[in-house]
Amino acid sequence: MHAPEPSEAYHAQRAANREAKNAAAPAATPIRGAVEVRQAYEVLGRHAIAGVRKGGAVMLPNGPQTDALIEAGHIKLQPAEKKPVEKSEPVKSAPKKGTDNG
Amino acid sequence: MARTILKNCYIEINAADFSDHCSSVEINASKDDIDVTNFGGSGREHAHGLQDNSFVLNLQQDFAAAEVDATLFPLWFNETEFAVKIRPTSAVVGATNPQFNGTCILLEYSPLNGSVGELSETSITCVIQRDTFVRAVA
Repeated sequence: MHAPEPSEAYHAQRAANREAKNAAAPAATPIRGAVEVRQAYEVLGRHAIAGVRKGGAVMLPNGPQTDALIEAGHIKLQPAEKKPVEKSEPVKSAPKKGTDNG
Repeated sequence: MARTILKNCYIEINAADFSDHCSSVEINASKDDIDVTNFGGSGREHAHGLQDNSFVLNLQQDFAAAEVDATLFPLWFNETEFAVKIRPTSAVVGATNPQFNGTCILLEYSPLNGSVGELSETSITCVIQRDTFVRAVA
């Protein structure tokens, strides 16, 4: 048993899809796995950064622009909030019954 | 229609508001003039070519941390592309307060410039890259 030959419409659709894929601008298809990392920075200088005044926190993407702001002394990376480690009670195992010594 | 008297222009360089250190601003939008004259007419015909835009800012020099020199020198030295945003007033962007922005580079920077007794000012030309020059109204 051979599968039936695909129809002309099927081939036309595939050709259209292939053309659309080739014509798509590279920027329109983001690189798989590339994620913009944004971090919180504290504004140090007198000048507002992205509308945030001194003492405030501003979220900025990692990159040379942010590096330049750090170098100029406009901002500094906010230390990540340390969550207190919850101490867990040691779990006591139930006493073994019998003489199960393996 | 109301005339515009420049009193509180908004100038942002690499996300930092430098309105209080800037004394003059100039936005230059231009396109290359391409001569497309042919034998079909008796006069020259021109066409728009590539954009070549820039912001020219006059900044009052300040060598303190997080001020003019500390901001501009790394941008020039490290060859970093940075955003420049300019509005006629510091009010929010709108139809009557358009924001002109672009991604720029700094090809020349003169950290110290002036004569005895003068205010030290530095004029920078932020060359806008590619087609990033935008007039935003919202």
